[in-house]
Amino acid sequence: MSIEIKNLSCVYGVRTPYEKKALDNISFTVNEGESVGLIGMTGSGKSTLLQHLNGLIKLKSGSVKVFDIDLSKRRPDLMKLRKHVGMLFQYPEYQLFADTVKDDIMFGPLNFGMKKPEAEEAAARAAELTGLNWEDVKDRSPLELSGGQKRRVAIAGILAYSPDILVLDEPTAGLDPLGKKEMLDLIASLRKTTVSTVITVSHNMDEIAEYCDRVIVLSDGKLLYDTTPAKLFYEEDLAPLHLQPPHAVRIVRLLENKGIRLPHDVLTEDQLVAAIKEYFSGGGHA
Amino acid sequence: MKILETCNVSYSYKTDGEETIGVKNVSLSVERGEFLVLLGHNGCGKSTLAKLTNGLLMPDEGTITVSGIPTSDEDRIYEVRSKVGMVFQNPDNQMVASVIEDDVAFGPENLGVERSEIVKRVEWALRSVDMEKYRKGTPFKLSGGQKQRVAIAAVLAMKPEILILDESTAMLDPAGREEVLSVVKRLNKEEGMTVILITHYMDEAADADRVVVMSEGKIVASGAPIEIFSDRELISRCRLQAPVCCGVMHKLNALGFRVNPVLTDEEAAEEICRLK
Repeated sequence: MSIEIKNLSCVYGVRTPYEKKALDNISFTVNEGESVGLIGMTGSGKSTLLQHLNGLIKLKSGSVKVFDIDLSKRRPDLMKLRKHVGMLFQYPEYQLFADTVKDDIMFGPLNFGMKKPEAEEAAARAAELTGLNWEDVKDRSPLELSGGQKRRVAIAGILAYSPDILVLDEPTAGLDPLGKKEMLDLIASLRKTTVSTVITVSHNMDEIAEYCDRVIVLSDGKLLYDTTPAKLFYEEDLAPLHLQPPHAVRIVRLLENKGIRLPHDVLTEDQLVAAIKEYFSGGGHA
Repeated sequence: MKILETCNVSYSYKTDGEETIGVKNVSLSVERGEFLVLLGHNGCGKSTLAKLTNGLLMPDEGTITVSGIPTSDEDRIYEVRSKVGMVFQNPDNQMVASVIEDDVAFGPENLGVERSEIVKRVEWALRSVDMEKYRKGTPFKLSGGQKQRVAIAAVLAMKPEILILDESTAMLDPAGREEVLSVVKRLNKEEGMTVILITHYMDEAADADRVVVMSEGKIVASGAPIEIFSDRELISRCRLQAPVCCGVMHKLNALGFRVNPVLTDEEAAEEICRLK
């Protein structure tokens, strides 16, 4: 078990007119190797939840355990926690600060106590993992890179200290369509080679459907669903959450109203094409 | 009548003796009342083109005219800017006042509009984006979608003739995007506002009168959404991605199923049904 959260609640602005319950009795566990999508409207508590995973918000009520670190105990080892959980914030390219890409990526490992040569080696390895050419970029200013490259530098800065869990807050926001796809493919490949457990916040249901094997839905600080993408998009009513199911699911639903029934595990463009082919080739159309 | 015309416009960014091309030889005319979507990869020159149209940048070569006024006419640059209203990506960067109605009044105040007229415009602008009940509130407590609607109202209060949205929905959640898009579409349909929407969301392009595609500073295609999204070679060359329904139709065709190109999930379902 990588992460275990029990009865987690969090209230902002206690005893002020702005008191707001950001998280309300949340419980779930994440196992090693899972890719979990976290969805919910703005203000549903996603960011508050993520910040707990990295000890950025002090735990007040409930319990959060990441591996053997129990945040409900006195003085938990936050340094160790943050080394376990690599967190990529929204628009991470705005957080790049060093003069060179090399210094930026080395910042994490150095702070976790690596020696300089060791840190540089880790930085080079991490940069290559994200598809950056180390020799090309290491001495350049991160600010001269393109948006997609900057985001890779930010991810490399996390991978350099070898976290066991990757937490990504809207990793594709603001990228162009191909940039989005490249970023998602990068995360998928990292899952196979480097960090197997990934939690991703996204507003894009097509992305969630394609890249996550589990979804957690927050609404008003409460955990509403914890299920698979197929079950969520086919069996639950998402309209009150202002969520549109993925396009492939919408088309399957529309076809159902017209009497064409396709299996309820179709979530992506390619799966839909295959299902249609299957359906009609039975009738000898193709 | 053409409301915006750019003729062979080029612009490069110059830093430390290095030149980076912003746009190169761009000629584009926009009709009054048109809903135009501008697509292209990051760094293709979309935002540069937008900034050139209201004189935030001056072209190195070529001319730009807005309702017949050249942006190079320094005496009339404020007239140009009041005709071309721009809304940017980050709603937080566009709020100048701590009360919503003051924020909306900021533009016309700076244009020297009479007080009684400002009051009318603020009311009208906030009503147009469906935010009039928040007029006395503070922008900082609004959701992203609401903030962008206030940003649009602030631009409307200057009575622009063209509304340019530069990735104004990029930072919003699906509900916020929907709010902003429906306001923009209504302004286009009901008030005849000319709209140029710059976006990475291909779905937002489906309803456009025309889609213009830019790549590496140049305009590489211009046409109806269905033409643009049916051109697979163009889509991949320009780092775009067609909406899912277009991709499905294309792949079905490749498998030997005869289906026509579509733009929406509903049309896709119709086409698939015809295979029965």
